[in-house]
Amino acid sequence: MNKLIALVASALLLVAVGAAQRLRPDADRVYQPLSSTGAIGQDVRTTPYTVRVERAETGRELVLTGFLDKKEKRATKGVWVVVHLTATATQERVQLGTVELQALNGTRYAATDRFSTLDSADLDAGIPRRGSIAFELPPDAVKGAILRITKARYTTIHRLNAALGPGVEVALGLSGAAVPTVTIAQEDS
Amino acid sequence: MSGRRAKRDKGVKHLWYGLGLAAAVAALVAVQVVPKLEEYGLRSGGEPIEAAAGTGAAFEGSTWRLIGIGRTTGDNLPPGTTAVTAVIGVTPRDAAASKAMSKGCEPSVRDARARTWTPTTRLKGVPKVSTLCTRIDEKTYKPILAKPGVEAKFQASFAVPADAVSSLRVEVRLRDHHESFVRLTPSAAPSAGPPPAG
Amino acid sequence: MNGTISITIPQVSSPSPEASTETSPRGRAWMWFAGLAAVILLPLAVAWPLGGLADAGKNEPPRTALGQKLTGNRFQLVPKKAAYTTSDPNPSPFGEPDKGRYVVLDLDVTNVSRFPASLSDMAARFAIRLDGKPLDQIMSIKDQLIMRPGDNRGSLLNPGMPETVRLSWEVAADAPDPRRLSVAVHDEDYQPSWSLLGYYSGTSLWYRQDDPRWILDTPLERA
Repeated sequence: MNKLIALVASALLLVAVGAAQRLRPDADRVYQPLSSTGAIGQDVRTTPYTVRVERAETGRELVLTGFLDKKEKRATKGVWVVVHLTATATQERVQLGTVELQALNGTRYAATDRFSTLDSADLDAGIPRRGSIAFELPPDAVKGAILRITKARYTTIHRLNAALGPGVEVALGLSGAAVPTVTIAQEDS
Repeated sequence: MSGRRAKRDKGVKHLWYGLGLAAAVAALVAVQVVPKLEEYGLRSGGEPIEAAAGTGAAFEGSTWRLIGIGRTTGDNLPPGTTAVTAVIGVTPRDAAASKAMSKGCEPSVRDARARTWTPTTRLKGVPKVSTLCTRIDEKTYKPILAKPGVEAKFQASFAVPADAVSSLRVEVRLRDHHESFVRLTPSAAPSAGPPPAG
Repeated sequence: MNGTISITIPQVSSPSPEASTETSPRGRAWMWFAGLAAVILLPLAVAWPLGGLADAGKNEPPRTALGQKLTGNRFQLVPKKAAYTTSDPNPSPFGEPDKGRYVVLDLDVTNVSRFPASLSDMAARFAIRLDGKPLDQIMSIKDQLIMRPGDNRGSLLNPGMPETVRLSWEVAADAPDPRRLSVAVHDEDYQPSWSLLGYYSGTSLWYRQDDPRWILDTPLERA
């Protein structure tokens, strides 16, 4: 009888081990940032900073306003998505880090590198900083896109970047319809 | 009776086994963590050497004191912030101490909620006081070592949220020295006007 | 092996017919050996006359020309123009143009992966030869730029966003004017990271394939 119980228990354990192996998330999932999620207009708090997305808009052309109200038009082969947000560092000077839009199918798009936006600006503790971030992406990737901010970048030498870090995820509620022109102000960081 | 005793003995044996296992796991974790403690110190900014309010402190062979901290003015201050300038005095004891600060000092301020701010150059500060603890030769760009026994004064200005001003303390770190830093506490809340130049 | 041992008793006079069919231990070992040899040699004996043992040579990647679309796992490339020039292929808007001898390759590039990439990620997968001689890409590189008329220079390749790219290299001072450009393009695989030594997280990374997937071979036009 005891032998039978041991055999059944062993078989069950074997099945459990197999199931655990199958259900184990892959490394990309295990190491992904621990994200705080929120909606437009909400404060999303993480250890390095708090982010509030005010609005997001899609345009076929972008107007960049710089110093002395200088305006420049920027074309794209896709569409521009501009996200207007306020970010506040929690405890010390930090930059937002990696800012991306994630489409519904999981494809990720980085913020434009053609001019400086809020993603590379210094955020100071307790001092809210308003700004915008621009993305270029194919028109069919816009609908349902999520703003994803990860890998906060500390600027002092006494802090190194964490391998696994906190993140922010905000659903932008974009329909995919684009207006002719969206405007963004260049950051002077 | 003997069966019960045998069972108890077995239980005690299991307990020892469990305790041994717990100790082994703890030792394994310690072996992993202890070598990283220094790195943790580097990341957290090191240990503070605290000076009592209004007094100086010895740090890396020099004596450091907070000459004053007060409100100043500046351009394009973010809304809700106040400009604050700290004037710090440092007296190196010997040539080694002068050399220790020749690579530069990194002042910052910290409030009661442990929020920290680094200097900003947009603020006016105090006239005729350097922003560097070791002056730089304008021709050779090499540091001019401070004279041992003579106090060198330097200032740093910060834009901080208005609610942080009353509890600010000043911290100074030395470049290439991550184990510790000096923390200077003012004898009173920052003055309404600029601090004395010394 | 069933472990049985057979003993053959020597027959001195008039052996019986059964005894003559018995195999001696030595004979049995030979049978095993011959059987094994046949199993090993038979495929070779079939393959040899059919040319199966001839040197297959290196699996040469296909040679491609300008205008051909090369779709890899990470990037889709269409090389458009290859030129040799003595004028700065990418003069800065500030200051004087650079003086030297340059090789320029213009391409249309689209990131076909699911992640953003930089232009240097793409260019790092190219091995360049000028007239058959390898070029030191690190030392001779001049520019790697996304070209957009009237726009700032960038290096970001977002998925699904086609860009016009200009890569340029400086020709060594002691080398003759090059006539032919060859670019070995290595494709990439996105796979879990691993390492024989040390720590690895197992998170996925792009790995360069060892052998080139295409070789662009084209004469250089003079510009």
